[in-house]
Parts: sequence; structure tokens; C-alpha cells
Amino acid sequence: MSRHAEILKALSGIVGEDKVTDSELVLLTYSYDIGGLTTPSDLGGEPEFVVMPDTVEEIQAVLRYANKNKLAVTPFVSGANMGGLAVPLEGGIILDLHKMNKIIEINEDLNYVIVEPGVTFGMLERELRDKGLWIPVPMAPPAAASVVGNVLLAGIGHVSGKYGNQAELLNGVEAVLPTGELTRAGTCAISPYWCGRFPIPDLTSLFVGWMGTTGIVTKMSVAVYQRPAYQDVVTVGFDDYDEAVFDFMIPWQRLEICHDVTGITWSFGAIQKMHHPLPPKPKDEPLLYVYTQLGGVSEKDIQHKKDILDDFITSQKKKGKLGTIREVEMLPELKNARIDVPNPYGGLFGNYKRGGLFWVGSFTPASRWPETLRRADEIMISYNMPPATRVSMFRGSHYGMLRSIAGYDSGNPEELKRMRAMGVELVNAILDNGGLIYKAPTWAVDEMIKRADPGYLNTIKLIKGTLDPNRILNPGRWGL
Amino acid sequence: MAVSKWENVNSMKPIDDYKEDVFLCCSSCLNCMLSYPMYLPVCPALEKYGFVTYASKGRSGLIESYLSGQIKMSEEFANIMYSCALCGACRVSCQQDWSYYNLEVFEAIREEIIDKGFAPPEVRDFLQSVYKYGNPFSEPREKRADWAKDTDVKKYKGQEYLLFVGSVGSYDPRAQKISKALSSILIKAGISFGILGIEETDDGNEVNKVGERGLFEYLADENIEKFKNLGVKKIITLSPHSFNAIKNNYPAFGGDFEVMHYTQFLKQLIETGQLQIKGRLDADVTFHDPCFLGRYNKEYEAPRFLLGSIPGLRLIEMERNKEDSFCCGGGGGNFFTDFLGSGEKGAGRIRIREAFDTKAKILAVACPMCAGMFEDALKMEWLEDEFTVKDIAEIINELI
Repeated sequence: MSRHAEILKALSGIVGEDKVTDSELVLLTYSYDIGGLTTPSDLGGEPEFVVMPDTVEEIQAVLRYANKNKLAVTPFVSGANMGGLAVPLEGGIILDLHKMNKIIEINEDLNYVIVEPGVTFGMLERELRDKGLWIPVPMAPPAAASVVGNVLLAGIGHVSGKYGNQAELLNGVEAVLPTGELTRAGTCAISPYWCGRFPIPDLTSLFVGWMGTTGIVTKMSVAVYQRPAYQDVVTVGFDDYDEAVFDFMIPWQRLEICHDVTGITWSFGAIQKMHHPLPPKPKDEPLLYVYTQLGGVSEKDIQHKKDILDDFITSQKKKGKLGTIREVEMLPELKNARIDVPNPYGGLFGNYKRGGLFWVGSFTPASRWPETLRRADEIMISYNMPPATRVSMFRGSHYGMLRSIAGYDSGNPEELKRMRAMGVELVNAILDNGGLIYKAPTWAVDEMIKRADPGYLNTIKLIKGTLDPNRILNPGRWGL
Repeated sequence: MAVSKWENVNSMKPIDDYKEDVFLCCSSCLNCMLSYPMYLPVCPALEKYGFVTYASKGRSGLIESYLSGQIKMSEEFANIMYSCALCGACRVSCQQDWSYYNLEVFEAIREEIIDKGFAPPEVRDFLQSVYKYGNPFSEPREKRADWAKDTDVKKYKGQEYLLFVGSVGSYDPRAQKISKALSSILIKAGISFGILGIEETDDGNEVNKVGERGLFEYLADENIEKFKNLGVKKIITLSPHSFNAIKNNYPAFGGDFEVMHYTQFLKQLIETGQLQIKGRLDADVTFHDPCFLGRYNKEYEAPRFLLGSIPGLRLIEMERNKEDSFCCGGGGGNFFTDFLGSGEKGAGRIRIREAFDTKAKILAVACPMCAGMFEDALKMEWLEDEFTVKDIAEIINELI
């Protein structure tokens, strides 16, 4: 029996024949994903097996077997991570977790839910909405994206001004280590309650941002919040990045009035209108739309917050600031998307004929946004692409998300190369301005590693070597 | 781009016409797995097989790979492509351009599969039966009207309406009861109608959906010529599948007839007072929207109007209803080829459990294929003593 046949037989023995395959056609589906500059005609990497476990015990058995036989294992739920992170770089096994989709507990007293990795934002929303709760991620990830995956990769919601990035919702995990042992992190390691990460040693950080290289998270507790009974969005436009960021976004966010403060370049808005290629910028289009998302317990509450915004703008103007500010109408579909939970329009930006979705996302200091936006505009225009970038504030600091998006002709291999080249330029522009790439594809990680502190890289390697001595989990990520 | 997602769904273009359109036409967001805003599963094939390859996303990737020469045509490729019920639920949940032509591409690739000689045996057998016997059951033409032997149904000879029974309604024992019930209603209402009897041949909808367009054209031509020779102007269909073919595909072959699904016709009869439901049915009833009446032809109200006209009947909707209905698993040729199977994860069994969970006592249907699929599912789920599947025609016939 060939080694391949032996592995197939062993995996079938663990999970059952109908939950493992080495079909070339099934494998192909797991060889590209959304946003990773990979396509069905230009694959990012090819697995040899797909295994679809139902239980934690099956995952443990698969990892023990893979560890013993030095087989690569790449976790997968929806593949909606935008960075090609669930596309295997070194073959082996895809661990497709989407059928492990139980919502184990909704704790309304303590405001958390415990979910399995296959639970999507849509599934969770379905259970939370009647309880007056939400997981605060309007719009950003598609409804079919995994809650666990997005939290582990520090994804972005559209109310990050109030709640921060998704990783900040994390209370604790149960995880299978690469060698098959089961572990817990967060308060659930000691207490029956999964309500936080502190004050004990915080082992959740062994899994956040590691791109599935240190363990398979089988249960996760995430914080949920009271859903605002009323929401509204107020949009203003600016013709100057410095003015928009320094005189409006940063001081306005500092007042902690709103759920979110986000800016989108004019062409970002136009992409939503499905123009491709993008027409020239209309004269009356602001350079940057800035929208404020408000949530409140009553209409009066919302109106009060709007009044505070008016007062803030008046005050800034009295100081001679906000010279280019103007009221602008937000596209109705954009406005709806911002208050619709979660977004039913996932992947809308890829809505081009033969359209691929190019994406570089970062966490970048807001003070560096104007310069980074100008550089991003220059770079994207030099590639004849619409300069579409979004910036969003995070809770508690003026360090926020900055990401550029473009649609491209995915049927043209030369275009894929061009997008990768543009991506490297954008990544370096962001790194030059103190930003870091999130959900980073390998080529973006490579650029970060070049600039990383040697001690940091050494520590990463020590941790990885300890947890995963045979380097089986998602090998090739983070240079590991 | 078409104004409506469904405008061109019956367009019958060859796969070559889509070569430029399939490159990452799907952005892999996997919204094709879930309905909005219920966030419930939509894809019968994905529920059955599990791997995302079977969702609309996976299919688009395989077709792109095939058209770009990365993979070759194979038996497995064919089996995956035929596991789709063409129910169109993914078309509703998908937010990409892809949702404007995915079903057309799934249909066109089946034509390519047949052209390349890779039709699976189940498909070949189905097509050969239709070709040889004019029906998918390999039954002689002479038996086509046996269901009507002990009824007062007349052969069509210039009456106002032709009742097009279709192959399932003519041969399938479960569906024959529905044919009898509908014709009984029409007789009681005094409608001038007739059937083609042994002259009727398959409408070709499923033949078209499995990709044998040559045979479909032959069937359409034959039916159209027969209708014209007999002076048929108005057609009532028992099956939503016949309705779809005659309404949407036959005009391209010169067949312009006034065609209605029987639920639409009965609705008219009730509205004009030609049909009165005198009896009562004190029962909770849930209704399953057939894909080819609902999603494909946007008729959601006629069946509900009929159920709402029955004194005592309380309609309890399943959560997945109307445009979001979950397919019985019989569409796209699967009633005959059965790539979706009858196991616990089979679409019919999933749907019958959902219907049963409404606490209704009757699952009402408006399609002979749905009736057959659910009748089987009922047995497999051991629900026969607690739950009943009835076509709306059967329910009404018992009350007039």
C-alpha cells in the first residue's frame, strides 16, 4: 500500500469514510480563497486530503496521527479570511471544521457565548437577535465567515470604535495542541465560567494572530453586547486628509460618543456603485467620506449624540478648522449595510466581471493615516487602479484599521502578478508609516519579518518549536 | 446584466458563451451556504456531501478550472455537477454577479458533459427512457393515460383547456392520485378541458435541466406541433416543471400558449365563484414551495390563496419559505437520477423534518415530484402515523 493510501485509510478510520477525501476535485476547492490573490486557475497551494471532523476527539486523533507521521494540517472553516491563510502551503491535510457548528452556550447574565469553530456570524446573529444581544460586527465579515476564525485573526467590525477589533471580544478557548493534547485558556481554565482572560496567565495569546500554527481552537467564548435599540449614521465629506483625520476623526473619537468613526476614500464609495473601471473623480465628490455610526437606547439618545456632533463641528470651526467639511449623502445601500447585522453583502467588492478581490489590511496609527492615504492613492493610481482605502478607529486608542481594496481581472495571469507587485508596494508604504498587516498573506508577512525585532522572531520560533515540534500546523505561515 | 436575477434563467446558452464570465465570478465569500436573514442552510448538495465543493462556490471553481484547462472532464466531475438540484436557493443568497448566471452555467456544463460522453449511467438511463418511451419511467406510451381509466376525464378535442399531466403525473403511482384529484376538481367545476392521453409526451423540462438540449428541442417541437394541430390555446399543467418548460422555453421554439400552473387556475376559479370549497378542514397545514413554481416563476401566492380559502385550515409557514424554500431534492433531474440520495442528509428528509417541526399535521405540496420525494422521506423518517403529505389538489378535491 502506498503512503498516500495508508494515510487515507488511517484518516478514514478516525473520522469515517464519508468525512475524508483525496478527490482531486474536492481538493481543488480548498486550494484558493477569497482575497488571497489565488483563483481556481491560479492555485495558492494544494492539500492532499480534506478531513471533516465532528468532534474534539476526532480532531485530537487526527493531530496525533499527523504529528506522528509529520503531515501538515491546515485548519479551514469558510476560507473567508482574505489572506489565503487557509490555503495549505505544504500540502497535507485540510481540517474542514465547518460542520462543528454548535452554539454551546449563550450566557445572558455574563454577556458571552461559547461557540464551536464552524459557527458563522449569521448563525450566531440568528440566535442573538431575539435576545436583544449582538456580536458587534456589522458588515465587515460575510455572514458565512467563522466567528472563531475572525476573532483569532483579529478581524474588524464596523463598530470597532466602541468595541475594538474582534480579538478584543475573546474571553477564552478550548484548543487541541499540535501534539493532540487538549488545553484551555482564559478563566475557563480554572472556573466554570468563560467570562474573561484575566487575571491568570493569558494563554489565549498563544492562538490569536498565529494563523492556526499553534493549535486548533475547538471552543471559544466571545463577548456579546446589548444590541442598540436605535442606530443612525451621519456622514460628512472632506477634501483634505490631514484635516479629516487630525481635526475631525481623532478628536471626535476621543469624546467616545459614537460606535464607530470610519473614513472611506471617494473611490471606495464609487466601487460600491459597481463602476469598473472607475470613472474620473467627479468634481463635487469629497476626497474622503467620514461616517459616524451612532447607537442608542432611544431616538432621544441618538438625537442627543447628533447634537453633540453638531456642537463639536461648530467648536472646531470656531477654531478655524474643518475648512473643507460638508454634509454629504451616504449611499442608501452603504448606510443599510452599516446598520444591518451581519452583512448580507459579503464580498460585494469583488463584484466585477472576471473580478478578483485584492486586499491589503493593516493596523496603523491614525496619526500616520494622512500620509499613508496619500501614498496608497499614488501607488494604486500608478497601477491604474481606483484608489480605494478605508480607515476605522479602534476603541481606546487612535490606532486603527487602514485597508486598500481593488477589483481586478482574475482571468488574466499578468494582472495577478501586477496586483501582487502593487500589494508589496502598499505593504511597504504601510510599514513605513508604522502600520502592521493583519490577516497577512505570506508575501506581506515576509515584508514584516524583514523589519521585525530579532528577539521577537526568536520568541515566536521558541513557542512554535515547543508547541509544534514537528511543524505540522499550517506550516509556512509567519516564516515558521 | 439582467434586471432581475431570474430573467434569463431559462436562456439555454452553451457553456462557451460563459467562458469569459466564470473567472472568479464567485468571490468565494460562501454566502451560497446560508440564507439571509435567517442564516439557515440553502444547498441540498452541500447538506448531503458536506464538502464546500458541492456549494455554488465549489462548482464555479471547478467549472473555471475545467474551462481554463486546469482539470479534465471526468466521471467525478460529472457526478458533482449532477448532484445539484438546480433549485436556485444559492442564487437567492449569493450577492455576486455570479448569481445572475450560475444556474445557466450549471445547466450548460451538463450539456458539455453529455457532449464529451461523460454522462453518468443514471443520466444516460433517464435520457434513453425519455427518448425511447416519451417518459422517464420506461413505461409504454399506451399506459400513459391508465390513471384516467376509471374517471370521466375526456381526451382533448378542442375543449377550452388542455390539462397537461406530464410524465410523473401519468406514471408515478403517488402522483397519479394527484392527477385524479385535479381532474376531479376541474370536472366538478364544469371546466371544459381534456388530456392528450397516450398522445402526450414528456414536457422535457428535466431533459433540458440535465443538459440534453437536442432531445429537449425534439420534445418541445413534438409537443408544440401537437398542441397546434389540435388547436390548443390554453394549457393547465399539473407540474411546475411542465409549467416552467412550456411557459419559458417553448416560446423560443414557436410555442406561444396561455399556460398556467393548476394552482393559478384554481385561484381564478375561486375568485370568480366557479369553484366553491364547501367542506372544512380543521387542521394545521404547512406548505412547501416547489422550486419551479416559486423561485423560477415567482408564484408564491396562488397556493397560499388556495390553502387560505379552505375553511378551518390554519397555514403554518416553515421558516424557509417562498424564495428561501429548501428544495425537496428532486429538481434538476434528481427525481429520476437521485444523486442526492435518500439518506439522513437527503434534502427530502431534511425538509420533512422541518415541516414536521412546525407541529402541522399535513405538509401541503403543489408538485407531483415534491409529493413523491416527501412521501419517501416520510417513510424513511418513520413519520407516517403522525404526518401526512398531500397535494393541494387532493386537499381541495376532498372538500368540494
